[in-house]
Amino acid sequence: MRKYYIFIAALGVLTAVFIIGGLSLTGSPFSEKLIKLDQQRLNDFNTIKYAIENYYRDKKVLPVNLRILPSNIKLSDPKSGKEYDFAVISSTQYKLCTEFSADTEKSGPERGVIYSNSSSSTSHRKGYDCISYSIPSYAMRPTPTPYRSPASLTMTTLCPGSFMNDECILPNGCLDSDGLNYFKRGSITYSNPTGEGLITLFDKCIEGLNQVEENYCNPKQPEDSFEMTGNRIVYEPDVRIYQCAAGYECRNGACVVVVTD
Amino acid sequence: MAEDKVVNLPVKESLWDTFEHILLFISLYVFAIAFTLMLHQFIDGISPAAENTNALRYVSKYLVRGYLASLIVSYPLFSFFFLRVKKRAQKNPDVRHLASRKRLIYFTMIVAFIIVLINITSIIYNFLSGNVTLNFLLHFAATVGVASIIFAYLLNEIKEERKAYA
Repeated sequence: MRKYYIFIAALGVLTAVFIIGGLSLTGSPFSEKLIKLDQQRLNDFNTIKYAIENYYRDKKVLPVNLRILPSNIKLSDPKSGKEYDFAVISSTQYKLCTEFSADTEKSGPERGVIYSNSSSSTSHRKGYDCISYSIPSYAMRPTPTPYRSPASLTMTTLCPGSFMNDECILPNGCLDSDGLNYFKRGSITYSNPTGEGLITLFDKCIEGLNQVEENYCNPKQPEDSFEMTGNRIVYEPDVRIYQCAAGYECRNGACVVVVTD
Repeated sequence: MAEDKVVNLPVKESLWDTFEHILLFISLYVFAIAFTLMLHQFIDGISPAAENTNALRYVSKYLVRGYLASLIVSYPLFSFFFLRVKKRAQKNPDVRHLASRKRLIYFTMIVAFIIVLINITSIIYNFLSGNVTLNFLLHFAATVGVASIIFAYLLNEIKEERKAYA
């Protein structure tokens, strides 16, 4: 019987070594908790960053404070419950601050998980620290290149709407080939607001980031449309930035599954 | 034949011993699997797989946590049932001839044999295609090592019984 006890004791020692080794690989449960909190903060920052970019796209200025962003965005720290600090640095730069629980070195991203798709660094120190962001160039709405049909004869074939009095009329002012489909490269066509002809914009990838710039037709506010066109809904061109999910990459204007050879 | 020497225990005892043996083997499986997989994670930590291999081998915190939890749960269970079964076998040597015990031992040996067989085949295949790296050899050694130890131990048990009752 003695030899069995020795065997079990030896196995116990080996298991203990494995458990200690395993903990050194994963980090202690206590520090993991702190890292999780920091990840939550960075995720919140990322959501705020997108909301600020959308706000900037609409208003061409940075918000004065975070409360004017959509109400579904979490603006308070997961631990202290205090609101994140927001400070404008310049017309296109701002920073978000909060009390972090750990240094970034310890909470480095695990492989296969995307934490931040921002080009700016998300490293931070333990304690009160700030992360600076700047409005990327893509958030400044691109000026479309007008596409003008060369002649009215060819225009009948190119006109996606109805052709009336030598003019192509789109039924709702804007036509979208794929809706908000981020997985397909679609295009929108709309009447040139500053001149003749139609403008066609294709979905495209944002260089360097795994994001797709999805063009779509956004319905106008009901009261506006009523005033202008009776009860017919009018659509106007708009753009939405979509972050391709993990396992997808942006290629040729669409999020496609990453293929590894 | 050893089978001829099987002594029928009273039904109640036999059922209880069968039950304990099943629990012992279940905890053995969980422990051995968690132990081996943990070993694989250590190997990847020490000698990472080459970048150009297709194997998705890297130290995953999520997996290590799972193996840790399995080890923490299965080690005490395995130790408890192992010592209990051994004690009972000492007190009542007929326990060693329980049919269900033999079935479990043979089943486990077959599984261990299949694991070793598959691993040896895969290492020869990889050797032939020139893909053998240190990382690969260590993974092979870990799996085959654990499976072989279990196989050898059980084989020894069976041999001893056969010798004792031959």
